[in-house]
Amino acid sequence: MNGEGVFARAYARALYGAAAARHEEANVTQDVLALERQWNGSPELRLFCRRHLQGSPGNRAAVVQKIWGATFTRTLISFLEMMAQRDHLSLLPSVIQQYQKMDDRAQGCSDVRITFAAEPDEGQIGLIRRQVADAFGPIMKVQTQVDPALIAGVRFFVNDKRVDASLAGRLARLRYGLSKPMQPGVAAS
Amino acid sequence: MNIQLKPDEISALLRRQMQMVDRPVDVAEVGTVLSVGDGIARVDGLSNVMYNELVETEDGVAGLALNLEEDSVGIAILDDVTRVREGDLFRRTGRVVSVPVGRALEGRVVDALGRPLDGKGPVISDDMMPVEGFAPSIIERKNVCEPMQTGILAIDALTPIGRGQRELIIGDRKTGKTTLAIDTILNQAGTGVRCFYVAVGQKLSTVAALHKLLVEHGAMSYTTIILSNASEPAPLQYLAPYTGCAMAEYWRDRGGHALVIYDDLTKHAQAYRQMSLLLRRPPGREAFPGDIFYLHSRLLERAAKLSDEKGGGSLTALPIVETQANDISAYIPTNVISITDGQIFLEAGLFHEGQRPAINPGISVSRVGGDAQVKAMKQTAGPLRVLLAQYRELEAFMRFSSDLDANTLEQLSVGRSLMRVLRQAPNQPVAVHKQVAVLYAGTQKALVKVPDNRVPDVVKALYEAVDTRESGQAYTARFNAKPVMDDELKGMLNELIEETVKKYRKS
Repeated sequence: MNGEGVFARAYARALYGAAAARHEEANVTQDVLALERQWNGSPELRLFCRRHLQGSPGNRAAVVQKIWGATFTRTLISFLEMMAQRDHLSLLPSVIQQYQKMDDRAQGCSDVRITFAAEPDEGQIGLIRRQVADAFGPIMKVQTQVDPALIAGVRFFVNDKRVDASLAGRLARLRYGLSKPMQPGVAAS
Repeated sequence: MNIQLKPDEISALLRRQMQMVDRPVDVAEVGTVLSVGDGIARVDGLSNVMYNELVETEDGVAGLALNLEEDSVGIAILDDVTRVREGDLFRRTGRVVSVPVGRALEGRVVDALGRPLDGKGPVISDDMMPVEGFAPSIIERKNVCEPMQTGILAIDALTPIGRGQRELIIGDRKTGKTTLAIDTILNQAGTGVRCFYVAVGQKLSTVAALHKLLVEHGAMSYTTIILSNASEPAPLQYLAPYTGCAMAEYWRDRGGHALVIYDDLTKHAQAYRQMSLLLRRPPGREAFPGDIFYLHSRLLERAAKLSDEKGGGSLTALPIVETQANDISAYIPTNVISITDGQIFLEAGLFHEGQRPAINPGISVSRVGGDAQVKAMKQTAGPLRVLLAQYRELEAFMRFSSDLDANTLEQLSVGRSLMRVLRQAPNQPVAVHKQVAVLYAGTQKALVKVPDNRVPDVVKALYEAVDTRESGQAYTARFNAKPVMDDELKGMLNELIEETVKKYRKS
């Protein structure tokens, strides 16, 4: 795992743990979503967080108080202060992403990423939604995209599971299977 | 080899193969590579992967799931690591690493995953076995009771090995450890024992020379070489001994006899240390991980003599460990010594004195092999250890005193002749009945009056006499019928020895 990923996961886990310990999961999650909106909407904030913060750790924490002090819960403010003290505010987008993953997992929400070979219609997306709901439960976050490299069909991920019904995938499986030496009675998979 | 394939046969084969591999929809549990380096990949996902499960990339690069952490999975890559990139997907296979076993492997050189390295085409076997297996339980075992003749007089007499035993071969570099192991393989010709030579972290040129030697002696027909050379990734070097063991277990479980040589476990431990450090497992003594003992104990416990109810098969293990400056109290040597049923210690000093095999009879022991020793050999070799110990003691004493009584001089002479008798050229294993004949001559002081430099000639002449002379053939027939050192056999031997030795005695 690269350094940023490791730190982001560790921070996200710390925040989620603190929120759970104080029974503030719902409020903190709301705040994290608000923070994400701020990040996406404010180029100044992004620029500020990506710069190396000057001054002592105490001064950096004071800056955090000035920016977000009145906005968020005490738990998130303390967390942001800690990140600022360590000059790790640039990791915020990764931390937010990891936090949301943890929250989704805790809520039993499936992360569904669907890739179509061609622009899908609602019926196709609905069909996959129904199938995922039957197998993994009704709560899900669905992202769709189009990738002509699939040639035809669809490929989707539900958390760690991958269902590949694309022509490109089928051809790749054939290529791989045929490149293996034949074993009597054993399917080369 | 003349192969004629018809186009329609090829089409049929391809069609069948395509039917086997073609799946319109593929469902898999996958993980994304976050980072990769030094043969280790960190993967996000694979949340249900099992410890030691085999995983694969889309390109077929195999990996072994070893570290199951909260955030990620640490995977040891078993193939070319350069074919794995950040963002690639690893998929679960749902099975542990398995290798082909059985007759298809006889005479083959394969890697740690059972893939051929000898250019003789694919290894096609109906049977596969997981490389990690359970050791037989107590009730499935039996005491070691059959001899595993090495053909090396010093071993068969002093530290006998039984089928199902684990006997460590230990010594500094270049003291003849591998030669002992190879000689043991050569001596298994015609015995039905399948041999597996596992080369871990060795030079390819060394293994090529060994392979050539085995081919020249006709020993490859019952031998398999499992090679994980020094240039291969540490995970493959880690896996190789378990692969060899699984291949040998196949025969053990079917009532057959197998011999597996791990050359060597020092390099195996080093490969495991490298892997463990890269997986960020906490280091312990000499930076080895905490489970370094278990690494070797679980491997060597699989060597066993099975009970008659289980078919009576056996798996004999000869692990090799390299020491530094004869220090057998280092970490890995002490670990393996405590696991095995004895050790053969090869001493650099003896080797340089010309005593080859350079076995130190004082430190070398076989804890269970005595029960399996051929009766006549046991009776003949009984006084050998004491005679040699006396000789070594007197030899040290002789350096300080030149005035020795006749009795002491005789003891020295006997000891010297015995040490000469125990010398043996490499790759020339000797049958047990010949070993007994020569050893009997030595312990009965028949060689005392032979000049030291003529002892090898007497030994050679005695071996020839056993084969060619009428009295020798009679002795061989009697030995094969009843290998017990009774008066009849002693009489035959005395006659044979007297006939052979008399012309070599000092006048």
